Amino acid sequence: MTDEIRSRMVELLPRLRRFAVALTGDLDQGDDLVQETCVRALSRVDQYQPGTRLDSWMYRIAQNLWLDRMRAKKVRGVQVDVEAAEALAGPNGRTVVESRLALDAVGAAMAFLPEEQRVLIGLVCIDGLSYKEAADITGTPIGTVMSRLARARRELHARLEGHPRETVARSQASKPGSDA
Amino acid sequence: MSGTPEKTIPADEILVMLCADLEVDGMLSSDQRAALSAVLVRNPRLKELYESFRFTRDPLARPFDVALTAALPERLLRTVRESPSPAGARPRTVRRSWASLAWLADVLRAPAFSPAVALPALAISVAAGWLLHTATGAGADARDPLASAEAQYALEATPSGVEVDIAHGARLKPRLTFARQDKAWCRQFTLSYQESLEAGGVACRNSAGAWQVLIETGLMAAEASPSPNSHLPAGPLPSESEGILDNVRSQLKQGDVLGPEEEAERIAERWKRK
Repeated sequence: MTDEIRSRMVELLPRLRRFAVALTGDLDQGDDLVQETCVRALSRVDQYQPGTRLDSWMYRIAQNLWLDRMRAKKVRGVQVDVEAAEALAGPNGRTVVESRLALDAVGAAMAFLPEEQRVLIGLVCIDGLSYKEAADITGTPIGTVMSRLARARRELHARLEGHPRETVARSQASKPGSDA
Repeated sequence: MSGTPEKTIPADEILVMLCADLEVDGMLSSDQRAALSAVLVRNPRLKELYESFRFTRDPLARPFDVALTAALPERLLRTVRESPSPAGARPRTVRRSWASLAWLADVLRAPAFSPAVALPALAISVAAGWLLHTATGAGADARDPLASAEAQYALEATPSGVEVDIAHGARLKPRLTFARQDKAWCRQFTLSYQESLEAGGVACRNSAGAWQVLIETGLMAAEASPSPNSHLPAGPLPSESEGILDNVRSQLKQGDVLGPEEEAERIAERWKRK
């Protein structure tokens, strides 16, 4: 049966890569996360519940690995994503890149979001999952999912479309990468 | 207790987000899209919100599609093929995203909510049903979120102001009781879900003894109510929702709202008329 799971994992790889890029903001780092996710998933494939969604299970693993990684970075005082974001952001916090919707620009804007919000953007806006599915994957109440999503989406729009909103000021005041 | 920022997202913002996502996912009919457009034209603030939410589906998500089309690195393929694993799992079919929301199209066509009704009423009716549907799972009758035995019992036997669990994470609280002009008993109620969202509504008891939803409204981010045990409407609903429910009640009501003693009597006598 594991062969069948492996073959479904291969089919899932493109979507998993896209989700990983949404989290890491970078294809190479995304691939590292995907690789780690697959290794972890296969080592625990006996924990996969037949009859449940393989994609949700894999996304959950990827999310947890990434959140662990981000927490470890914070403990070490490294803020790679913030540095990347600041390199692409102007003095008022708005992106100054010409091509606003290039991957770098979107990734830079997303780096300002709290990790939990970034995961939700990846699941709902980029992968197209429903709020309920995102709630199941993240283990978060659906009301919280919707509130976080609404806030994150307005923030992203404000940053990328250059609407100077209170949300921009708010997240500048708070440290990027911390939850609201 | 009035909330963290997470609890103060306005209801209409969340509802506009829901509408935007349903539209992107092709879940709205042409009539519904037209109704939505008409509302957005009339309300620039909602239109701006809607555009924010649409933007974060498309074009924002597009650059990430590079990961779908780029050749898969050999190292990833090798990892999946060769990483050690214990044996034992079985595959299954994948269901479609949003499939559990397929019933929404029917809800949006409900006669109580004509396209002339403003978005808050239109979308709130959708979201309130969806809220319960989400809480009760795909097996529930989404067009009548109060169809479950637990919800029916809550309306039948719970005094106003008392909140009871009706499904995983969902609670119902009757707020007040009144008689309709045709003598049917009606109860205004609040639904809440995992302390995050609340919806209001009015349900009436039919001749067969079943409580049927007359109107649902008032989905909002919940905040602590200052008077949770009040017999009359407790914490204020958002003005639009409150207005809708008050209006409905004033059109339907004959006589006064029942006091606690009279209501207890009606419950004890299983809503028999005197």
